Amino acid sequence: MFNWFKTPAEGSVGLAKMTRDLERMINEGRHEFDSACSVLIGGADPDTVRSDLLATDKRINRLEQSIRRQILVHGSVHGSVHLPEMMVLMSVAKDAERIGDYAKNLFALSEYRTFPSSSKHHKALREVRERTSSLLADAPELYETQDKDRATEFLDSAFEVIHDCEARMVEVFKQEVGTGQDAAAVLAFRYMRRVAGHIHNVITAVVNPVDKLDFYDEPTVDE
Amino acid sequence: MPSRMHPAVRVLIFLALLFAFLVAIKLMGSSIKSLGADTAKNLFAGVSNPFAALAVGVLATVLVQSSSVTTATIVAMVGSRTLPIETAVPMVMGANIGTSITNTMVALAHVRRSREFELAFAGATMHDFFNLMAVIVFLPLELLTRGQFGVHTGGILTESAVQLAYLFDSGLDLSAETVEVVKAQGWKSPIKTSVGKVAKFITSIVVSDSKNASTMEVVFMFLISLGGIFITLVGITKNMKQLIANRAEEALNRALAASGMIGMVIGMALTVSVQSSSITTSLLVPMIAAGVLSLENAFPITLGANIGTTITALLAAMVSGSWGLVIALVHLTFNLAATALIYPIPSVRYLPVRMARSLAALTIRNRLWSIAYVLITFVFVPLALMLLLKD
Repeated sequence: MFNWFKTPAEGSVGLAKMTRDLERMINEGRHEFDSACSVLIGGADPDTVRSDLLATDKRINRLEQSIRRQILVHGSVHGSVHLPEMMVLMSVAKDAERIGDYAKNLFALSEYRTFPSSSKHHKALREVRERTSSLLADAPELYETQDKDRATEFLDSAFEVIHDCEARMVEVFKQEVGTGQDAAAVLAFRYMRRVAGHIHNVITAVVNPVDKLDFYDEPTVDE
Repeated sequence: MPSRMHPAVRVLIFLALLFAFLVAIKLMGSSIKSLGADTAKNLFAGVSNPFAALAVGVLATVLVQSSSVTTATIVAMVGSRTLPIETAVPMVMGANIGTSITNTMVALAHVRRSREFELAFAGATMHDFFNLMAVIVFLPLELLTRGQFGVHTGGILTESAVQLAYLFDSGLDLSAETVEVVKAQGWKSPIKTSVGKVAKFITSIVVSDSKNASTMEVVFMFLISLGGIFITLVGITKNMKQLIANRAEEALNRALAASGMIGMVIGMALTVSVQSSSITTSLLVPMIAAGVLSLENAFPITLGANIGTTITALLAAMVSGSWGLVIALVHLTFNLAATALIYPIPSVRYLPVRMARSLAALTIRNRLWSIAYVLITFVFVPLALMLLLKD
């Protein structure tokens, strides 16, 4: 009852709540991504995944809207005291929401093509999926702790996934003859690349100032 | 700038400011009393017409941008028997109308974006329309029922407040000569005693002979007390806003989804905490403008703020005379009765919201309507009423 009395009056309880909501968005995004990949690469039945995946996506969207509302309330009550944090949250919540969108795209792709273990793209896709899923698993704690050193390592790992996806796509483009499976693989790599890109954007907020958010093709720390 | 002050320090600052506020109220009562009964009564003789008094309430509040300052001053004056309760009742109603100018001014900041402005202006003016409706109903009712309740000359609101005052304190003495809340032979609150001592000390510095103070000395003391009321209330509001910022944020987040009684309680609690309905209603404007808080959900919060703001007058009544307590309770009764009359009936409940929407739609066609509305409602009409009906 008297918790408010123990914390400094200017403590950002609202920002902490918004950060928790962002972390929930990323966790939900990871769940949606893994569910979609379990159909696309793991051979799971889409009917067993569909309703849960769509419900997860809706939860992510609702969380993003909730964060936006909370930002508005926070700004109305506290004024511009936490303006940079509010702008960062507005931006990274959008990135977290996009992760859900791309997971949904991966699931939609699986309606046309899947990549069983016999597929030539299976191994590469599984590898990228595992690395991307691992990034999604690490991101919430990293965002909360704001550990710059670990964030820099994280960004390097995310870069590797992004470059790997690009290299795989280029590999398919260079083929003389392509199949529908190849086209689907290119799309799958592109969607995974975007997932890795968006979680990379979220973590740039740990090391970069507001104006450098999202610019992952530039150095992440001022030199 | 964010402050790094611990909440315990802020609570101490609040208590100190509250004490200073009560001293200022006491000083104001004493300063007016020093003028002598006849001179003091003549001060407000010109506004004995209730509509002129209503206009004075509006203008005074618009001028100081705080109904708390106006009502606290009225309590001090009524408590010292300078301002007759019959004149004070319409003044308090006027203060209710005047206070709604602040959030209307905040809404004007959204003027460049049509949709935002339409929502913001409607969100701000629904407060005006509710307060105007309340005055349209209760001022005539109060005037028509004057003298119907035996010994006192007030109408239904005053009589209800008198009965409530007796409930608070059965030893209350409302005879014309009595200016103390509690009878002399009864227990006297230590707060009241210490406030009285400090006020007496300040008076002794300013006035050489308290029985025969010069007009200049009295005016000087009056200005000190008025400044004191204003400064302490601003201080309390700023300090409490910092202290309860996180709580306010949580409550407002809850209010975005909740409506009705929860919203009303949130509005009331926020306003009681910061001692300013303008803060509460102005906080709502950007949320309404952005579309995250609907007018229907914001409306009960506004009504709660109207009720919550009466706390200042009640606090001031702690150190004022018996009639000071009565006028503070008139303020409370008026706002409670208006809410009880308008809010429960679904067809009437959102009438102020609908009126505000219509006005906002008009201002979208021509922004000058918004400026005209503010000037007509809060300046021209009250000024005309005051000048025309002045005795």
